[in-house]
Amino acid sequence: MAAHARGRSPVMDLHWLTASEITKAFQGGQLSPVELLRHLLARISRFDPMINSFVTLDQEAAESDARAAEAEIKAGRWRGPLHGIPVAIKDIIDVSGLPTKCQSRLFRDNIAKSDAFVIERLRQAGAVILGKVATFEFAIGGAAGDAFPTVRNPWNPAHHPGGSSAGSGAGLAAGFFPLSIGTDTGGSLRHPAAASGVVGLKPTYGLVSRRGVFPVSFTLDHVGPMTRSVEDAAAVLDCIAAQDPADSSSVSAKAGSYTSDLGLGVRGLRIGFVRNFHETDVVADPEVGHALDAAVGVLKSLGADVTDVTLPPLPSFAAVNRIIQHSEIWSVHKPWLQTRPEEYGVTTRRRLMSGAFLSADAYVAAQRNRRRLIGAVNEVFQQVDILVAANALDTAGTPEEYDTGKPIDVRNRQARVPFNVTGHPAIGLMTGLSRAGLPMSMQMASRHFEEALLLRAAAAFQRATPHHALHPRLEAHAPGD
Amino acid sequence: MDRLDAELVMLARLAGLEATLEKYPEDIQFAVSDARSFMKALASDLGPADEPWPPMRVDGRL
Repeated sequence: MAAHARGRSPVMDLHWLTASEITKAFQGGQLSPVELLRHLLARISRFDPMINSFVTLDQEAAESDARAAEAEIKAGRWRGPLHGIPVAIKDIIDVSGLPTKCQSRLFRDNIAKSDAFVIERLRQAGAVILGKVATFEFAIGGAAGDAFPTVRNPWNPAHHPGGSSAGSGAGLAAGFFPLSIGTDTGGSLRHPAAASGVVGLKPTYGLVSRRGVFPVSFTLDHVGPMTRSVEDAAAVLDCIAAQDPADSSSVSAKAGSYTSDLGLGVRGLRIGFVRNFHETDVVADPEVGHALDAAVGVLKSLGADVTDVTLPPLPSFAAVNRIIQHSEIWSVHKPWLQTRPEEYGVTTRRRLMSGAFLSADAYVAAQRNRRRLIGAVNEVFQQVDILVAANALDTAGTPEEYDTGKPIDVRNRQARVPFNVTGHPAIGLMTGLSRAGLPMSMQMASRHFEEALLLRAAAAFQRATPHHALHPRLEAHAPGD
Repeated sequence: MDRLDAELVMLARLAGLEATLEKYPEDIQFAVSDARSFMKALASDLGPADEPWPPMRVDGRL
């Protein structure tokens, strides 16, 4: 790869740089925002026809943002760690003037009139908004393309990159951008992190505003960063975590910077290994289980005090998540499903309509069970500081395998829901590659609003392991290469 | 019309999905079946003191 470098030392493989590395290169005069953007745009142009991560690429606005950032940085007006850094936005999040299509025919002409809260925050920080990236239809439909092309996994394009923040995961793994913003209602930040081998952080419910994000489920939706490094996830959270009076669930709970403790390590931290999720409740693929054991071994070797803990069974969380999610999303989509059902893909239509046949009794019972499950997890957090659990139980399947009722999809829809139900922060990160060359992953969780501790533990793991430095070779899959 | 069809028609009507049932009867059947399995999977050992989340809060921000 040609180096777009000047000054002291060359900067190679620009597309694999993390945001923190890019910032150092900007500050050292080795790289400029415009040079970086042009490099990434060329890479997107070359490889995205194979990956399909972008729904709307806003090249003109991105170039304008990059030029403005370059001028400010040159003039000594550096705004912070996201200044001049390209970021891609999941296409259920409003960016003023761009369509929010939600991967749906129904919303093909839906132009956002204003920025979502998180976009306002990114703009204030000087980030470069690259455009909108693919999701599942309304962040709940199937993975196989219906109205839009199917997103492909850069590690193996026959496989899916995970979802529903599919374009975010695929684009990060492909080296199209260093940062993305996604959403997570039942694992949609952490599943693509698992399938694509990147980082996905679901913050505590209420820490990041949902304003301007098309709802899946009001009480389960979380907005958060996807990145290739834990350090970058912390920097993005620093930017987007803030109270928003326009979001009824938004709280003021940010204390200090999420990046300041990243170097403190895990020595002395009490880590609870949740074995029952993947060893007895829904048994993980053996390779995934072995990688998880190895990851826990790394944390022990770093000085963490690891013990086994038991949480309520995975299916009990999944039952609660499904009833709440499907009841709430039906309430949103009811008018369109009654009058324009043909504008939905078949998997989406089936999933959304199930909410029509759930009783009020079931919804209230699910919310009552939810409170009990939150209590059960909080009780375990009196004994430990961090939980480690399986993130995905399998490596990425093919897109068709994520349709309703398929075995891998049934398993997949359970693994990450506990922390949506309870609202605890959780981060997904890579634990290695399978024999077939597909990423494997774990998730870590912490007490409500203890993201600083969570990120500290995740950063320690990432520093001690080489997994995040592995990247797919797109050239091997690209036609004509 | 057999009993299953009659029940499906009734459920679709209650949900305002009569027109959708005409076009996509299999999808309605699928959704009904999913909803039933979801409800069956929910724990039913709640006590009177098990209140729902989120709690009602009157803090002037509504």
